[in-house]
Amino acid sequence: MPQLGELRTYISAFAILPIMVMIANEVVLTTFIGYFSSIAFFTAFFLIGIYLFLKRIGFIGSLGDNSQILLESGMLVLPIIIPMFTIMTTGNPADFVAAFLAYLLIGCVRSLWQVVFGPGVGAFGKVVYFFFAYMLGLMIYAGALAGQNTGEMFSLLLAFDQIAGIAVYVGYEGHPIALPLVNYVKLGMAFAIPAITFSALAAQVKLSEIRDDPSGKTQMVSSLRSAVALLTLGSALMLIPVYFLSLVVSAFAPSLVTVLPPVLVSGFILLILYFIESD
Amino acid sequence: MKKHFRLLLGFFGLMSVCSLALLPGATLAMLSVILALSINLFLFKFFKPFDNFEIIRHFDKYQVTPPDEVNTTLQIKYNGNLPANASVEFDCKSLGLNVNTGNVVFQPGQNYNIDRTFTADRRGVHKISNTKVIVKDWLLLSGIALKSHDESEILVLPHIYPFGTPPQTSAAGLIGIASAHKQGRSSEVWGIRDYQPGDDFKIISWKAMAKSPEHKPKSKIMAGEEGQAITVIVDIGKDMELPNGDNSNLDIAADIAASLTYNFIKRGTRSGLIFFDTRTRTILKPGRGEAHIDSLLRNLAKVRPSQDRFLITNFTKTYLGFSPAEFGNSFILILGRTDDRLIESYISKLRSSRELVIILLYNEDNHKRAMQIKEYAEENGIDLLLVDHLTVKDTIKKMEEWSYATIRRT
Repeated sequence: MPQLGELRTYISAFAILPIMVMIANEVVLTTFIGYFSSIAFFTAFFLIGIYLFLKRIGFIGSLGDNSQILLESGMLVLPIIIPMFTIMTTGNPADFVAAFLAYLLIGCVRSLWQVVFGPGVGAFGKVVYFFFAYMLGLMIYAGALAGQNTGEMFSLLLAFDQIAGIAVYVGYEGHPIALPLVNYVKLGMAFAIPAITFSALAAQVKLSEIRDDPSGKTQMVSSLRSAVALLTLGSALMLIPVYFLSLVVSAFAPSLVTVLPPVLVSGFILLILYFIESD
Repeated sequence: MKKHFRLLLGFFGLMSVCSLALLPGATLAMLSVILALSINLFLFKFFKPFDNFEIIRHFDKYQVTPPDEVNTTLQIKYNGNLPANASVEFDCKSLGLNVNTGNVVFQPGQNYNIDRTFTADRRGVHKISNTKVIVKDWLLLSGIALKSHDESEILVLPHIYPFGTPPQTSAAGLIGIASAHKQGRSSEVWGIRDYQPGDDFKIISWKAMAKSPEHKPKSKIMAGEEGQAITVIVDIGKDMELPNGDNSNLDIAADIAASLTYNFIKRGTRSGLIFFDTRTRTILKPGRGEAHIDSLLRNLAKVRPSQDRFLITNFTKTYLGFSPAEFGNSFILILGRTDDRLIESYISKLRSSRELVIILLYNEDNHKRAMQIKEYAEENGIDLLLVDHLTVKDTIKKMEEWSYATIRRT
């Protein structure tokens, strides 16, 4: 059940703002409506929907190991296998792309759900789900935008190009496109970063609390709310020196501005912690 | 590798993937979480909340006559500057006590009191573990365990079953076992003996003490005070480990020995206690007074079965060597070993001019053998009572009657 009575649930909702900007816009909606007539699109939703339902009611868990693997892989892979036959017979990738878009959408929505509500998810889980949701959201938005520009409904290749990142520097010919809503995404990120930090820390406390006391009688999350808020504020303040470091790095290696400052700062902190722990 | 370090390295890896994918927003989000986790660990190391706990543990009693309840109070004071997570725990496995607060957020300057009551019903010395405080950082990722050196013991004495006749009644007095201290004493002096702790100062014979070569304190033996002591001998061999109802043979033996010695002393009869297996292990010579009762009960509370088994051959030799002047003329042997085939041969040798009652402990496994021994004993004119966990009270009653008869004879 969604934990609607907890503050961290509402704060987590801020974390998904930039992702919502990317997937809930006119471009994506147009692409989505465009695939309404695709059987492959609906088959993917249908099969994965049934899979999730069966998993929720515990049917899949009740099966033997072999039957479970067979059923799970069948239901999850079948939606992408069927369109492959279409490609082989007709050479038209539209069904394949439609099924793939369905996967991306389901993955993104599922990850968003875990970021906001995610029961039993710790700090690492929250951040991993946030990462997946962000990446999939970006692919959906970029793919839909590029698809509309090129006349397809969804461009799978350009969607991947958007997250190809540093692969470009090792020879991959990526063509990331400029996204019109990028400023809104950046603005959303200003809220999302402290929100995901707070959410991850609160989730970690909750997870540790449940591990220590499975009855869940203690209410440490609410008792430690101020402490978690203090840590979130501290981390936000510590991002300021990272910003200045980024300015310095951008002056002599602008291509490494996303890589060097965070890796240097976090590596330095980990090193200090390691030495403190060794004492 | 420690849990929090593994988590940080995981975040570092994920952040590296994000940065290599050139996703600045997601990278900053990861970095922010890494920074928050690191600040949490730095604060824990810097403010040292684990140095700011004051814990006082108190038990309302450390010596208990069962069945009784013991109250424990745990006072925790946290003097830190920031809230701290900690759990406080201690236990006593043998009494089934387990106090664990679970993770609690302690606010600076606040006091926390925990009260717990538990029943102490198992004879013995029960160790209460040191109080352990596990202080964790705010995110419960790392922790430091503090151990206060307050290990303590609770002594649960054997159960004492009272005699049917109260010590002060005229009936008890008439048969000669009324307490000389309680009932008042005749002025007639029957003799002089060594002073024993607990003797009334009025019966100390200063003249006899002055006359004695080493000037040892002496007490007068007054009319109304019995002369002979009763000594209880308890088998503490390995067979006493055997279960008998919910307890062991030794628990039942300790209850019987405690009840008898306590009641005898309360009625003015000097009583002693001997633990025996292959040889004499502990000797508490017959005596009187509260200090002597306390010593008897403590020894009976602490005694544990030894690894050796009771040897009737050695016992016979030792028993016959007990001086009547020191140990009296009446003995009660509480025995747990039944499988020794030499019992039949040696039981007749125990017969002497002394009074001896054997209390033989049995359970459903050795009941038949115990019956055989009883028959042999009766054939040889030795009183033997069979006892299991259900017949302890009856046995005490029989022993009360036996003691009246014994005193009357002396």
